[in-house]
Amino acid sequence: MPTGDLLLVLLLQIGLIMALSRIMGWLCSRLRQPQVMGEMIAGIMLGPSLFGLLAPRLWSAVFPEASINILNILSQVGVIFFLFLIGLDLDPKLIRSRGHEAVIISHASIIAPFLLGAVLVLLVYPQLFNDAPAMRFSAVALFIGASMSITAFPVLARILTERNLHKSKVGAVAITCAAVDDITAWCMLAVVVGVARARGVSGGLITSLLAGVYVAVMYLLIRPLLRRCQGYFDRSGRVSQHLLAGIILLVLASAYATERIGIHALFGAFLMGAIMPKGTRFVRALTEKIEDFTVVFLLPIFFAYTGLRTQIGVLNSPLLWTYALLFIAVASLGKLGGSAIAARLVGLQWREAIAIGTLMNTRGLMELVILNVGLNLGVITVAVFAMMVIMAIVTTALTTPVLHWVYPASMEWEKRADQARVKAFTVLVPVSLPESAGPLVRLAQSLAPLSDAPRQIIALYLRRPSDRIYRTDLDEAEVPIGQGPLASVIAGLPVEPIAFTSRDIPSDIARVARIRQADIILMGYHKPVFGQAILGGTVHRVLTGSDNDVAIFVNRGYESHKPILVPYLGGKHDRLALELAGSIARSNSAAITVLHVVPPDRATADKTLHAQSVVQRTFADPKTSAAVQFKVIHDPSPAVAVVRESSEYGLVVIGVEEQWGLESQLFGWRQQWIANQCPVSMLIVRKHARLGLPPDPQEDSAAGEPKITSTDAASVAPPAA
Amino acid sequence: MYRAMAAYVLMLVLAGAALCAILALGSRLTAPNDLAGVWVIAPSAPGAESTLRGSFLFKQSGRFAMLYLDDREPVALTLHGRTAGDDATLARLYFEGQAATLTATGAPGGDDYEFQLTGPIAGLFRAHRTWRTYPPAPTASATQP
Repeated sequence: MPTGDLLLVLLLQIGLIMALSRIMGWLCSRLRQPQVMGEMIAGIMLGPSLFGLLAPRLWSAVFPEASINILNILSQVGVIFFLFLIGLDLDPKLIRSRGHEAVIISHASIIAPFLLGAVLVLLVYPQLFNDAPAMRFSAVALFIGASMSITAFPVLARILTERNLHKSKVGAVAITCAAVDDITAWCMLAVVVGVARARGVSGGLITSLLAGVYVAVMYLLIRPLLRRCQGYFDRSGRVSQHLLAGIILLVLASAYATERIGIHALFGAFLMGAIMPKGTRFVRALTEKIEDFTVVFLLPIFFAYTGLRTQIGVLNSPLLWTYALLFIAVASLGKLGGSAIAARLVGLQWREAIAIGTLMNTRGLMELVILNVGLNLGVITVAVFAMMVIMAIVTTALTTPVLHWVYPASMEWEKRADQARVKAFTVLVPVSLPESAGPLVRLAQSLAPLSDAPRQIIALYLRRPSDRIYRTDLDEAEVPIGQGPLASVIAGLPVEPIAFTSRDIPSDIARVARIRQADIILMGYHKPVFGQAILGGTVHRVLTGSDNDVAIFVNRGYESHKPILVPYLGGKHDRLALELAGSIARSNSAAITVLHVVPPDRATADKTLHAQSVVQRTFADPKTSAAVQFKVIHDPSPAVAVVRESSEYGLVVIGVEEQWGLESQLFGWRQQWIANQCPVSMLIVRKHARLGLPPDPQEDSAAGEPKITSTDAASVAPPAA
Repeated sequence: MYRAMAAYVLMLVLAGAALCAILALGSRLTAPNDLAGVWVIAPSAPGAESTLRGSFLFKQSGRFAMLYLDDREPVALTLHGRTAGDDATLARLYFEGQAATLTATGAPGGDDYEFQLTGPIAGLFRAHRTWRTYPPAPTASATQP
C-alpha cells in the first residue's frame, strides 16, 4: 500500500477509534460503569467480532492488514507511557500506612487466583493449548496465574472515589491491596516473560542477573537523578520542554533496557514511574503533560488493536463457551474469594470482606495489557485470549453492580451519620463556590426556630468527577472544605464539612439531607439573573426531588439588619416562609412585614382574617416573638406588588406558591418573573410534607394574643396592568 | 502478631509448595501438536489426488481449529485423536468437523505436513508452513491473518 494511502487509512482508523471510544465511554458512564468499560467494548466492536462480522468487506477496507502493524506500534507506545503513568500514580505511602492486614489480604488476593489459575491450566492445557515453543506448561501456568491475579488499580480507585468509599475502611484496604497487587503483578509479569523467553537454565540465570543489575541502577543512579530533576522543577516552577524530553528519554531508555534484558518493556516503563519522587507538584505536572495525549489518543488505539486481535468467533462451540465461563468463574472465585476470606480472617465483617473481594476482582485495562503480552509471546492461544478478554470485561462490568448490592454506599453514610447524629436543628448547605459559602453559612446560623436551640450546619461540597479516567484522583477527592478556599469562611463556625465527588449532585444533596435528617436544605444561586431560570438546573432538581424543606438564597447584597418582607397568600410554602423569616428576624433583631396581597375583585374579609390569624399564631410564642407588621394590599397582580414593595427591605422570604409564579413550570422565565425582578435578596422556600406544621388556626381558635400591628394598604393604587 | 506472621509465612510456604506440585504435574501433560499458521500447498505431483492450490490458514487453539481455504466458508474442526505415523518420528492427527475430516501427518513441531481432507472440500496434499501463529515473529507484530 502506498504511503499516502496508508496515511489516509490511518487517519480514518484513528478518527473512528477515538469517536467510538468516546461515545461508548460516555454511554458506560451513564450506566454507572467505569468509562474504561466503554473503551474496551469499543475496541471489540471495531474488531472481527462485530464490525468484521457485520461488514467484512468494509472492515477489510478500513483495517487493511498493511495498516495493522502501525496500530500495533502506536498501541505499544501508548501502553508504555500508560504504564509509566501507573507507576507515577503509585504512592508507596499508601502501602506503608496500612499495616499488616492489607499486606495479608493483598498477598492472599494474589496467591489464591494465581494457584487456581495454575490448577485450571492443569485441566485445560491439553484442550486449549498447542505444543508450540513458547507454550510450555510452566510458562502457561505462570502466565495464566499472573493474569488471573491482576487488579486494575486505577479503575478500582475510580470506583471507590465515585462511590465515596475511598476514605472508608473498605476503600482504604482495597486501595492498598490493589497498589500492592499492581507492583506484584508487573514483577510477576517480568518473571513470566523471562521464563517464556529463557533459553535454558543459563539463559534464565543471565536474565535474572541482568534484571537485578537494572533494578540496582534504577534505584542508585536514576532515582537521585530524578530528584535533581525535581529540584530543577521546583526552581523553575514548570516542566520545560527540555525537562520533559529528558524524562521521556529516560522512560524510553528504561523500557528499552528491560526489553533487551528479556523482562518486557512495560516493566521498565512502570519502574521508571514507580521510582519517581512522590507527593510532589513535579509528579503532578509531569502527569498532566503526558497523560492527556496518552489517554485520549494512544490508549483507544490500544483498545482497538486488542479488539482487532480478539476473535470471539473462534469460540464456535458450546464447549469453548463452557471453558470461557470456567475462566470467568475461576478468576472470580480466586480473586473475590481469596480476598474476601483473607479479609474476614483479619477481622473484617463478611459484608466488608466481600466488598473488598468484589473490588479486587476489577481487572479492566490491566488485564488487556498483560493478555496482549501473552499473545505476543505466544504463551496463549487466540481462543484463550478471547476467553480472557471476555473475562476481563465481565469481571470489570460486574464490580459496580455487585458492590452496590453487597455494600451500598448508603451503608457507609448511615454509619457516618450514626456517629455524627445529634439532636439539633440541622441545616444542610450545599456549597459550590467558596465566595457563596460565607453568606450561606451565616444565613444558615439564623434559621433555627429558637435562638438558643442547638443547631447543626453541614456544609456539603460536591465536585463532579474529573474526566481523568485512568488516574486515581485520590488527592483531588480529598475534602477541600476546611482546608482549601473555604477554610477562612467556616473557621470558628459550628460547621461540619462533608465533601465527595458526585456524578449526580442533586440526588446526592437529597440523599445526604435524608440520611442526616436535615430540617432544611439551604442552597445558593450563582448564575446571572437575566436570561437564566433561577429555579432551574440543580436547584430545580433539589426542589422537586428532596424530601426535605428547601430554601434557595438569591444574594443581592443581603444586609441582615434590614427588615424582612414576607409575601403571604396562605399556602403551606408561605407558612414555611413565615417561620423562617421569624427565625432570621430574631437572630438579627430585624423587623418583619407580612405582605398580604389581595386582588380587588376577589377581596374577602374572611381570607384576610384567616391570613392574619396564621401570622398571629406563627408569632404567638413569646420565645419566638419578633416585631411583625401585617400589611394588606389590594392589587390585581400580587407578583408586581411584591416587587414594588420589596425595595425597602433587606430580604424577601417567599414560598414557591403558584400565585407568585414560582410553583409550576420551574424552567419558564415568565413564571420566575418575581425572582428575576426583585431588587433585593430573596429566600425562596419550598415546604415538604415530612415536617409538621403548626396546626391550622381555623381549626384551633385558641390562638395566642397577637403582637402584630396591622396596616390596611387598600389605598395603595394597584399598578397598571 | 506472632501467630499472624506465622500464618502468613505458612501461607507463602504452602503456596510455593502447591505451585511446585502443579508445575510437576503439568510437566507430564502434552498439548496437541501445533499446526497453527499459514500453509502453502505444494504443487501436486503427477498422479496426486489433490487439485487444491495456493495457501490456507489454520487457526488452532489446542483441540479446536478452523481451516480457512481460499474464499470458501471456514471449516470448524476438533481434534479427535493422535497416533504415531508410519514412521515413528511422525505424528498423525485426526480432526473432525460437522461435514469434514482432516488428517495431518508430519513431524511434531515441523513445518512440512501431509493433509488429507474429506467432505465438501476433499483432497490429499502436502503443504509447507510459511508463517507460525505461535510464537509470532520476534518483533511481536502478532497480527492474526
